[in-house]
Amino acid sequence: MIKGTRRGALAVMAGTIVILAITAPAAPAAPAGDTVGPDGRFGLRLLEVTASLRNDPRARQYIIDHLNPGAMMRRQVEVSNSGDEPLRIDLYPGAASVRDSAFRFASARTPNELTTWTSVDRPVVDVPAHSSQTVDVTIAVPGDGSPGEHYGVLWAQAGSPALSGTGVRMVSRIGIRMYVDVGPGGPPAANFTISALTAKRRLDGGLALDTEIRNSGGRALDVSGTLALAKGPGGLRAGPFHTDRVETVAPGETSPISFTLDGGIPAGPWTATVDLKSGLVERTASAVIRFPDRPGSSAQVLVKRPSTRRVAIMSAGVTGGSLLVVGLLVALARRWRRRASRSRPS
Amino acid sequence: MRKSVLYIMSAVGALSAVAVFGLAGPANADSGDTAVTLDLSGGAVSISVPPSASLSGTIGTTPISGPLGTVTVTDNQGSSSPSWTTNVEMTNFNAPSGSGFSPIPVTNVTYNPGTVTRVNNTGTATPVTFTGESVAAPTVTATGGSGINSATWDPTLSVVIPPTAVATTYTATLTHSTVP
Repeated sequence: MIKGTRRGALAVMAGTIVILAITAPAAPAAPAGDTVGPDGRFGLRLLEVTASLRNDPRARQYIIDHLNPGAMMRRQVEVSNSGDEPLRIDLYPGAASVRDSAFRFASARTPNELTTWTSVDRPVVDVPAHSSQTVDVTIAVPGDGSPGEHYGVLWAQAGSPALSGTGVRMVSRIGIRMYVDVGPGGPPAANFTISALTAKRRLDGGLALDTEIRNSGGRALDVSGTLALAKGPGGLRAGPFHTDRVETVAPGETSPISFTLDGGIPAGPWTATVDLKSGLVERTASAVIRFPDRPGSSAQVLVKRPSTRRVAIMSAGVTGGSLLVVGLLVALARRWRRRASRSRPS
Repeated sequence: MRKSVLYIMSAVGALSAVAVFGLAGPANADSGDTAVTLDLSGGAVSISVPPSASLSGTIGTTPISGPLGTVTVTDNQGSSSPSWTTNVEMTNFNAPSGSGFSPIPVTNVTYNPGTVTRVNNTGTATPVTFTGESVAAPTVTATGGSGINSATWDPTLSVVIPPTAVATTYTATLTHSTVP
């Protein structure tokens, strides 16, 4: 009886440890000790996410959707005023494009095809001090809307009062990116590949690991991720190191991805594992590299396992699976206990 | 008795995993457990609106420079890999409409972000000499660690006064644009 209980408890603990191991990397790191500065005067955020994209972190931040020609979508955004004075905020769409590994927005109210489809229910919102207002954004694609992915920005803009003398009127605006794909049927799949890794020592002695990704899917990607170094000299491990920037890559384009490392890291050899993701699309590549002793680039090292799997792990799935494991272990433990008590009646 | 110990241990194990990591899980109907879910939704990205900046100078003195007021960008979205860029764009310095005086072109103007005070991000700060009216150029970039981040800077504007300028009021509009 006691033995059975112990085994059961051990099994449950083992199950819990497994859960920790799976979910620990997903736990967000706390921001560094310092506190973030005071809120700016006004802010903008997206309130709604398409149900099918709920688990996609990009869809929580940007207006991302796929629409058939003739279809319409609606999203709520919130404009907030954290200042002590009421503020008049203009809301309007503006053009944007994706090129040279970046999401680029146009100046002022530059239109494009997407902005002509986009409207807000209240173009001018008076927001009282320390409060917020909700505004509806509607994107209605006409029947002859051109297929492909369209880019834009939904802007919230506020400015200082008109000038009385010589000077500069200050205008600030903040935007939410829009990635709207138009075409019949479902959205094209997002996909990318990681090519060779190149280890470098910069002129200032710092180290860098460069790689290149190719957007082989049909949607724009916002790619960022981590680099882990393992099996180094003396069994050292280092990392994870984060990508220098988030690279926005248009379909069919290639983009360099860089990791900047401290020059004090031993030259190697290391097994470098690069893990990059855009929303739910994740790719991993690893290769054995060695940083050059003098400034310059090492030869490109082909990645060992260019991953072609589409990894879309949903936290709910992980938790559900983990709980299932715990449940199974409990059931097993109970069965052991029953068997034990049957074989050794008390 | 021992059975209940086992149940409690299993419940504690499952619950602590759910509660600590804030993941939603189905409530266990058999034992009446309550799954504790911590769902953090993202905050807003916000920017300050500095008051109008006045610049004054004397004919014959060039360049004229002055502070524009503090600009703060706060990214409270709480994403795992935040990244944003602030662009600046500007109009010409126009003389009062109807005066007939020619404007001071924006190409005579340089925007200097100065020192950027950052919290939980790294990035660049680049001075901008405008190349045309309403031509946007990136000035401050930020790539944050996971979570929230902010940057504050006190930009200054420097204007080369052309010899054709006259003693009158010149006004311009400068726009800071940020897309996270």
